[in-house]
Amino acid sequence: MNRRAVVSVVTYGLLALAFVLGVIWFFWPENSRWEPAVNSLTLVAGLTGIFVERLTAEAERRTEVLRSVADELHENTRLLNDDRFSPDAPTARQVYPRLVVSAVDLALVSGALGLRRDAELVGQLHRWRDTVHLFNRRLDLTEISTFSNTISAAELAAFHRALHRENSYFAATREKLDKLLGALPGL
Amino acid sequence: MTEPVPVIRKLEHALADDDFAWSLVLTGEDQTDKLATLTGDLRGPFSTTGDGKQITSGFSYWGIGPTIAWANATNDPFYLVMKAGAESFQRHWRKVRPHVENGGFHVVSLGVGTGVKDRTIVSDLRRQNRNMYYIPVDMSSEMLRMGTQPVRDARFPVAQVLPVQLDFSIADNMEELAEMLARLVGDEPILFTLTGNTLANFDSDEELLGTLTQGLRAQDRLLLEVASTTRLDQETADAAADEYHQTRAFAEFVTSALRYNTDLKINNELVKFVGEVEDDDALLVKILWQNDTGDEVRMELPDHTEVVLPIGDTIRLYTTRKYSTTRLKRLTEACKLTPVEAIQSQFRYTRRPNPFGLELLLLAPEAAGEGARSLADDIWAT
Repeated sequence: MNRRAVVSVVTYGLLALAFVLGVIWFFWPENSRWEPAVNSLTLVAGLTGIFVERLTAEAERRTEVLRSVADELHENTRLLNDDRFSPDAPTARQVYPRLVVSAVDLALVSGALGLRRDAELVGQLHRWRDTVHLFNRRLDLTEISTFSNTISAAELAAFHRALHRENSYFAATREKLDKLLGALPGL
Repeated sequence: MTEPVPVIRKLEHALADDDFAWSLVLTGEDQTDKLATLTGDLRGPFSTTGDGKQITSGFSYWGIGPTIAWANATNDPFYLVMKAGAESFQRHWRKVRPHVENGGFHVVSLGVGTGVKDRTIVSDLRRQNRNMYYIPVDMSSEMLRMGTQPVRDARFPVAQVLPVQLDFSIADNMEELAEMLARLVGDEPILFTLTGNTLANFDSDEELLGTLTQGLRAQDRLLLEVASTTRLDQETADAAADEYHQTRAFAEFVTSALRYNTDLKINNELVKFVGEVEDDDALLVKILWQNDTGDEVRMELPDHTEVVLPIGDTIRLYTTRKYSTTRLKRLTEACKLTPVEAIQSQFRYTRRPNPFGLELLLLAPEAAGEGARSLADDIWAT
């Protein structure tokens, strides 16, 4: 059981107990010790309730951030499966779609990911961010080269081949993306 | 009883300490067939433009007479293109060398020429690969003997030289040669060289390049040297024709095949050097003998039959070209060859800027993939 669940159980437990004591006090009001008992219980529940609220807000933020990262990764998978990246695409010069990392960037700066709990995931996101930047940079270079005036059909074909080679950066990026999607905690 | 030892195995030792000038040649074709081809080519239809009767490339160097004439032409100090070509080759080769230096290449020289360029290539490559073979291929056994001399003089071991007499412009021959070479060297790479603008001498240069490409495996490379031009107009074409016209030794050489194989009396006045623009991307120079004597001329062929040459009829003696970059690109693309390196430079022996020069290309078959690391591969490497 995690911290948030323990604190919630304690809070609601205390409140429930206070309620039960309050009801008993109502029917048998002659015992003057009911009052401090109910008061103390509600006071403690009020205090722990603050922690419950904080922990819940944190968890919600983390879920939101992770969901947006997952959405972005799915979007990137779709981009990598784009027709322009297909091995069957004609070897013509073209502008390629770029991978996006804004949700990952936001996730990393938001502080919503736990220091200890998500340490491994944070490391992976940092590496993914680098991969995407280098991948996009390679697309830039490919476009600059293929859109130059002097390129021959053979050179265009060489770019097509280089992109779809088994050990190309494209394949490595796709593999990294699949791995990252697998590593994301279930939401 | 011991097994008999094949003579070829003993030959190496038998020749090792012999001072006599033996030369070993592997002959691939029946030479009678070649003579029949030459005779057939000279029996072509009437043409005033040099497109009927002709001496095809290879036959210009076939036999001892043409070989001697060729050797004289190359030594002629007035044949400036030859001299400038030899110098520019050294410069260009230095830039191409790093691509093939460490690959452990064997060298197959197609159309051996004077052998001076081969000497440069072979000496450089042998430094990294002591076990390399040098296999010069030519249609003419006389050219092979003459052309391998510079390599032998450079102390390249004779036991690693295998001259092959074969007409490599025939697709079947090239296929057989490629198979034989593959059995000889296994998976080791071969550098094929076609230097000295040899490609330009063939009627269909694209067909020849295609034939040669068929023989290339993914690990092999083709070193191609061609004459280049930066201008394409009739004036430049005339200048290209003039370039060959200037040396007497060259005229002697182009007519030598005809002199040697027929009884035609050749007056150098009747030899024409015609330049034209071919397909808008190259200059074509045809060297022809034309019957301008005002009478019919009779010519006896090697098979003792006679051919009548009417007034105006021509015999094409030699074909050469100067290529533009566009044409080279078209040729290499059509033959599915990828340039690994291409270096071009203009001739500098004239006072005025010269449109002519030489280009040295190192080509890889398109299937090479892994071997030839292109810009694209570098960008997409992990």
